[in-house]
Amino acid sequence: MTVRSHIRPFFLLFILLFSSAFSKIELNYSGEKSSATFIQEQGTKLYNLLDIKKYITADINKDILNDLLIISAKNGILKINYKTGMVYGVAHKKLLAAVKKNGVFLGTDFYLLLNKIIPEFIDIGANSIFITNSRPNIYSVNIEETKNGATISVLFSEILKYKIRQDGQNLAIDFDNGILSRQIAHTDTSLLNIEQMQSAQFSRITFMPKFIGKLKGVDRYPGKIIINYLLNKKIRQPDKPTKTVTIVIDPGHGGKDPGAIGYKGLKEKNVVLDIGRRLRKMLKRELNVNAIMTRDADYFVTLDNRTKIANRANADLFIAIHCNAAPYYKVNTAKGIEVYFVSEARDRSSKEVEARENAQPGKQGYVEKKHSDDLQMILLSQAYRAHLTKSSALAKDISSSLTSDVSMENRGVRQAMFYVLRGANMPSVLIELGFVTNPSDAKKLTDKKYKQRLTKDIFEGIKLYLEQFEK
Amino acid sequence: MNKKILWFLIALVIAIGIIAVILIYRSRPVPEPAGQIPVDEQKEVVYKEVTLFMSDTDAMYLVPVKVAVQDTAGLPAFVSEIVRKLSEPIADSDIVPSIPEGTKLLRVYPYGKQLILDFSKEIVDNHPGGTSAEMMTIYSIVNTMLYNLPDFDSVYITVGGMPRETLAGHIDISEPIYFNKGLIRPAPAPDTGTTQFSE
Repeated sequence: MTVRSHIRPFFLLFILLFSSAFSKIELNYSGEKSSATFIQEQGTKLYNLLDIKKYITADINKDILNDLLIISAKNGILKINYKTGMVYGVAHKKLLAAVKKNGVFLGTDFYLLLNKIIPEFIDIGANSIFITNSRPNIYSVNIEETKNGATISVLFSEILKYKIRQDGQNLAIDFDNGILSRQIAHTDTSLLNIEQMQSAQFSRITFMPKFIGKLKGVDRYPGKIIINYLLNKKIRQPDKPTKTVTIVIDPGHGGKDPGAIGYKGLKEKNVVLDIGRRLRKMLKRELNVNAIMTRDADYFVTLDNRTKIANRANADLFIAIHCNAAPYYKVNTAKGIEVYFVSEARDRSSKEVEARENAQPGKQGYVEKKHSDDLQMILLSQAYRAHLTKSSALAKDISSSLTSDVSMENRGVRQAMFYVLRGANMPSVLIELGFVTNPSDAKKLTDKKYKQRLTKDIFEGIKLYLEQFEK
Repeated sequence: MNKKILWFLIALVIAIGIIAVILIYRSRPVPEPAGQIPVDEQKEVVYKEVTLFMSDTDAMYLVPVKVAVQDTAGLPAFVSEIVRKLSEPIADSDIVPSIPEGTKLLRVYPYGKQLILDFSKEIVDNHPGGTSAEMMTIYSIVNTMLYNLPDFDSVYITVGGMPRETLAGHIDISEPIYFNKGLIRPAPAPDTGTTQFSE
């Protein structure tokens, strides 16, 4: 028995008497009541958090407690880690408001323990579930046929902020922190097609009339938007594709975060910004695409905000640019360029056991030849699933274009669990331009002519991809 | 004596008593961090063969290396010793440590099939950066732990008692991490004194 266990009764007494550090709130999930205990991160040690089950009142269902471990939330995303899997969700407004009220600053990690969770499932992956455990705040869409057109009513929580964008006859509404109701998928679409997009940061509903006509007007009320269309009964021909391709270029690090610091003090943040600017210029000039940079100067952007920029721009591609570094400062021989796309090596199935059992010297079958075979894909969301193939193709196209001109060792296409790429709602890659810690690579990465050739090769790879997928 | 004063004095004595008991308990030493657990010198020192996964000099693959690790003082001390071994360079070999200098393992928490490892801030502050180096740091730890401790299926890395998004801006450590076969060097290398797995 540890010394700390002697203290527990008194610790509990203090919690009960002076519960300023622990505040209980009532939540409402899908109409059923749940309660939650928040434990502030400040001054709270990990072992207290892990032991907290013992401090919970006796009326709580032990089975639920057995499933709990740590729940963390950040920027409205709720992550629940429990013994049988991972759960991702969007935190309820009330939950976030309570966190603010109780002194846990939003945007920093905090822990909470839920007594009960009743999630509304959206997507179930092999070992993960994407859920919303809060009630939708965009309640319904109704379309009514009128004498000479259609009237659309969109009902939502009046605290939601939104923007309306018109593109010809089509109209899109972007809701900040919106959660779409499932009801919307069942809306009558005999007059209009409806497209929905749900991301962690916002949701979008796009209305596309099936008949020729025009948008008569949009009336805005608290929690309600009324859209009136004048439509005749001539079937509208599909619009000619006029969409401009949008590519978001993400130079890594910046500002207070220099990234890797290499040979002769070469800073990653400066190299990647330079290449990013060159790439933007080339893409705009030669392909006339809309090229957006997540940072175009030396300032810091959080990882979450980088993909937020891309998602809000409804970008077609997300290209993160980074420089590499050797793991051990005394050995700087690691060199070369590589292109990554995201993976999730979160296989908790029998593969690990199998690997462990087979991992004996001389035993066949332990090491596989291809990374793609090795890494078990756990699909976090439908968006991720849809973009994985394209991300892989983009990575291959860029990597194959690099071999032609660039005289740096090509380390090929690889996969890794990138935090920054996880939130992207579009095909995405991360290019490691070279090792700033290697004298030869570092020298090249400071040479203007080399950097221009390198940018040209990356550009050619993107162009090759666009010719296949975005024509 | 006034009854009110009497009750007040009784309440005061009880309060002082409670505070005194609490202070006595609080003055007792708290458990040492995992890395500093003293080994009972009376116990027989037991060594266990452990397969470390360490980075090659190209930062492409993890290479398995067999070492003997002291296993006498329970799981936290054993895990701390493994991390210490992972941090040491191996002379005359083509492998390098990928744990940043000065990194200490502060705490070890087994939780079901998850092993929670809490490192000191040096793992972030002294990290060289770059995707390859970051992958080598993370999977050197994760693969080594999961290979040698079959009771666990994942490792959750925290820094200074708190979860993080990444160590150096790339690889997601906000969730438990599983064994990564793809990073292990596929072909036998020239004789380096290290253990190789053949295909």
